[in-house]
Order: sequence, then C-alpha cells, then structure tokens
Amino acid sequence: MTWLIWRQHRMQAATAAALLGALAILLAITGVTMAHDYHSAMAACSPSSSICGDLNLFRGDGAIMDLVNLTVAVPLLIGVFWGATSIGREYDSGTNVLAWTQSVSRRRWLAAKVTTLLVTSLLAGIALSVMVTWWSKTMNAYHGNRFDPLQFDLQGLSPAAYTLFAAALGLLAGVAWRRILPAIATTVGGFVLVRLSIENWVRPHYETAVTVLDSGKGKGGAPAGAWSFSNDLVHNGHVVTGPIGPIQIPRCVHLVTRDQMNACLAQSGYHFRSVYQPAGRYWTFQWIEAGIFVGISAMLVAVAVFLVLRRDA
Amino acid sequence: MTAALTTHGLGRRFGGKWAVQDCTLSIPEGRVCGLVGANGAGKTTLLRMLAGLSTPTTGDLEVCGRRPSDDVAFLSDVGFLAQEIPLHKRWNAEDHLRFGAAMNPRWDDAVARERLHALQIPFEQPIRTLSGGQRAQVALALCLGKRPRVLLLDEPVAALDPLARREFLSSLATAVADGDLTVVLSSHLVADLERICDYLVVLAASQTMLAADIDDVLASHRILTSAHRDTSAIERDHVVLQRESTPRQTNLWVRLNGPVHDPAWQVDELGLEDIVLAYLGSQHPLERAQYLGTVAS
Repeated sequence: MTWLIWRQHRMQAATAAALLGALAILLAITGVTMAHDYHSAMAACSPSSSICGDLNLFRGDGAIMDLVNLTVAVPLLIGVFWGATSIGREYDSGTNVLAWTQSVSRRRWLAAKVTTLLVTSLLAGIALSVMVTWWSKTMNAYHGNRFDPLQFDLQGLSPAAYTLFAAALGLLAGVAWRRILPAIATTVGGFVLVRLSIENWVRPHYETAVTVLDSGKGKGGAPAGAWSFSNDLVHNGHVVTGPIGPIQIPRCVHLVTRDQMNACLAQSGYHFRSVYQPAGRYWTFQWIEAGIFVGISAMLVAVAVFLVLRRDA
Repeated sequence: MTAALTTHGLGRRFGGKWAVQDCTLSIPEGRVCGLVGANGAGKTTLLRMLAGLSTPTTGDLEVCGRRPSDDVAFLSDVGFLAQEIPLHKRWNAEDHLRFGAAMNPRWDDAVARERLHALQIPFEQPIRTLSGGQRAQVALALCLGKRPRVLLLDEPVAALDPLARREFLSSLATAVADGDLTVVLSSHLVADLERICDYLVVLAASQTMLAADIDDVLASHRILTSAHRDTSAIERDHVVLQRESTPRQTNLWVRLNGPVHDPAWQVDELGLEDIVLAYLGSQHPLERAQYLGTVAS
C-alpha cells in the first residue's frame, strides 16, 4: 500500500512542499525585517509615555500582508486538490475497481488512503499555521487585532482545524458523487458555507459577550486585543441613529471640554455602549472553534468510510 | 467435477429493478466459460458479484469454495478485468507491474513482464498514449501476474478492433492453456467465444437459460424443417426453443432429448451463434427447469 500511496500522490506532495517552502522563505525574510522595524520604532519612543503616536510602519508591505490574508484559502485548496481527488478520482476513472480486485482488502486500502489524506492535510495545516502565526506576531502587537475574524482564522489552531475539515469534506464529496467536478463544487460550496456560518453565527456566542456602558469618563470602545462587536451611542438602552448635535441635546450645547460634554450626555441618559469578547478569551475561542471543526471532520470521515465499504464498487 | 464457482438463486436489485434475478449456475474448475446474453441481461452485475465488487440482494454464491468477502484469501484467488479496462492513465506499464507486485503476495513478475515483452508493449509510455488493444493487454497481464484461480473478464474485447480482439483472445488462450485457471468471459460476440471457450452460459432476462459444455451444446441442438404443421410430437419429446412457420414449411430450433424418429423432419446442425440466438430470442418462454433439465444428464 505504501508504494501505491506514494506513486499516486507524490506529485501532489511535491507541489505542496514546494509551495509551502516558498511561503516559508517569504514569510521568514519579511517577518524578520518587519519585527526589526517594529522594535526599532518602539525603542525610539519614550518608554514612560504610553502614546507613541502613529508609528506609520509597514507602508510598503501591503503585498505580503495581502498574501498572508489570502492563506485563509489554503485549507480549501487542500480540500479540493487532496480531499476531493483522494478517492473521488479513483471512482471517476474506475481505478477503485483496479485497486479492489488486487489482493489487498478494501478496508486496508481505505485505511491507508484516508489516513494518508488526513495526516498530510493536518501536517500541512499545522505548517501553514506555524508560519503565519509566527509572522503575525509583529502585526498582532502593532494592531492588536488577532481576535478579529480574519486574523483569528489565519493563526493558532484554526488553519489546522479548517484544513482537516476541508480534506474530510472533499473526501466525502468525492465518495458521494463518484465524479470529480461535482465533488469539487460541493467541497468549495460546503466549505465556504460552513466556515462563514460558524464564523458569523456561532463563534460570537462561544461565551457571552461583555457589554460595557461608558458613563462618560472613558473614551469608549472595546479594550485592546478584544473582538469588538459594536460601539454605539445609546439613549435609555436604544441605539441612537442619525446625527447627534445641539438640536437633540440643547442643554449640553454650551459645554466646551470633552469631559464636560460626556458628563452632560451621561446625565441626559446617553451612554457609549461597547459589546465585545475580551482578549483573554482568545485561546478558549481557538480551542472551541478547532474542536467544532475536528468534530465535523470526524463525522464526515465516518460517513465516507461507511459509503465506501457498504456500497458497490 | 469440482465447481470453481456456483450461484444459487442469486439476485441483485438496483432501486426497484432487478439486474440479476434468481440466477443459478455452476461452472466447473479449469474451464474457459463464455457468458452470453443480450445487453442488460445482467452479465456485468453477475461478474461484479462474483468478484466481490457488488453485494447480492438475495441468494448464495461461492467462488473457489468461498463467499466473496473483503479478505486477502478471497481476493487473491480472483482476477477481474472490468469492461472499461480501468488503468491509471498517467502511469506506464512498468508502474502497473510494480503496482501488481506491491498489491499481490502471489505476484509472478516474470509471467506479466514476458507477456508484455512478447507483445511489444512499450513499458515507459503513459497508458493514455497506448492503443485500446495494448491497454487491454496490460490489464490482462496485471490479472494474470496476480496468479488467480478464477479469472473474470467482462466484455474485454468489446471496444477493440477485430485484429486487436483476435490478438487479445489468442494471448488469453495461451495463458489459460497451461494450469488450472478457470476463466469466465462475457461477450455478446459468440464467434469470439467459440474460438476460446469450452463451456457456455446463456443468460436472458437475468436468468440462466443454458449452462453446458460447448461440445454437448453443439451436439444436442438441431434445427428441424418440415412441411408438417403438427409439432406436438416433437414438443412432447424435445424442447422447442423457437419456431418459424411459413405457408410452405415449419422450422423448429430444438434441444434434442434423443434421436428424431419421424423421417418427415429434416434434421440439420446448428452453429453456436444460432443456438444462442434461439435461446435469447425464444418467443415461447419455457420453464427454466425444462431448459436446465438436460444439462445435468
């Protein structure tokens, strides 16, 4: 079986290794440079002052940042090129019949195919995650936004879990359709649908979001590193929309300083309301998200295995 | 006579439609058996069940004394060549031989290699660049290198031109000449089967119409011609497969249960193709037991 797996998938392995290697080199070079620039800039501003102003860094690094953001699609590529083709292409070209009429049981063949797919996909996902997470350390410190949806998806456990999910989804689509094109379409559609659904409707509720009413002393807004859902001006619990000015709150018109204005607004029943997930929950969210995708993957693989073993060739 | 494979009441249903129904047959060891039937008669489904690729809905079957199952003992005894001749298009013949070696404990590399050398199959060219005949030969070499006890071939020559078809069959014939390999070869081309087979199974409407030695089949089937209109005496003694009446004469395709005594009937031999066609086109379906009755005798 080892020979067969290697002979069938060596080109895919070589292509993936080359692409991941190229990405690693690119990220290593830019990552080191950007970290150096950031630390120099931070050292230059006074340690006693917490405000450095706009460091105005990384203006020329748009391309590499875009590239890193695009790695959000790598799990999907693995789902399409490895997952959907793994057994889907065997059915499509009839070579599953060739394999199943040699002296190796279908169970053993399937175990080798599925294990290889899942292990290599997971390893590729981990490699990607390690690279991007390492590279993003500078950006995380600079922007404090690793909890925001796109950055959350690119770092930590997420890429590995998504890659496993994409591979499992591709595997099942290939097994269910037995043809490669519909399997690829299903993989793409299913991956995007599940990822966006969980990101938008499930992930925000892993823990109850924190709601803070600013009574007028602070600047408002979520603390650094938090995943902010909303920052609104509310009046007696209702979000105020439209222009806010002297016409709406005449008694605060004459006030000059910001503090005075805020105090007056608070007295009139106006508050800034921030809803967010605090930065400290980042890893809890990462584990929950990864757990969900690993769980879905396990179910998809189980169905695929059942179908291959129970259905006719 | 040991049976290499037997089926009893075998059936396979897809949705609401039976592809094979109540199929009972037995093929002796060491024979080259032709399996004929019209398109859709269930030949492919039957062969796939025998190879363990398809699970029967009803009935029993045994190949080399074992029910088809997903274990090495069964799989190494059975070789199967599907109609589509599936091969890895981007691999070459050499890759396929290594595949055979890696996947089969009983693999005989010399047998497979020498066959392909003798046929001048290029070893280093991708399969997709080979002709249909060459592909079929690579697939056959893979099947034979495995050293199975039963070889199942599903319409292997259907897509080949006449020359490639003849080459394929003659190379198959030499391969099975020595050893005790049992071959089941499905085809709708009776002439091809006649060249290589010594046993014949006819399937119609997924049921076994005939399963017998080809020599016996040829000896026991005749066409009777007469100006007579009364066929009751013949029908009482023999099995009439098909009849054709014109105002001037009556033709009967008959399986004989003994000599025809009435001199009014002219008795002529039938070719294998005519016999098969008589079974497939039988306008008066008879009890299956009646067909099979004489096979045992």
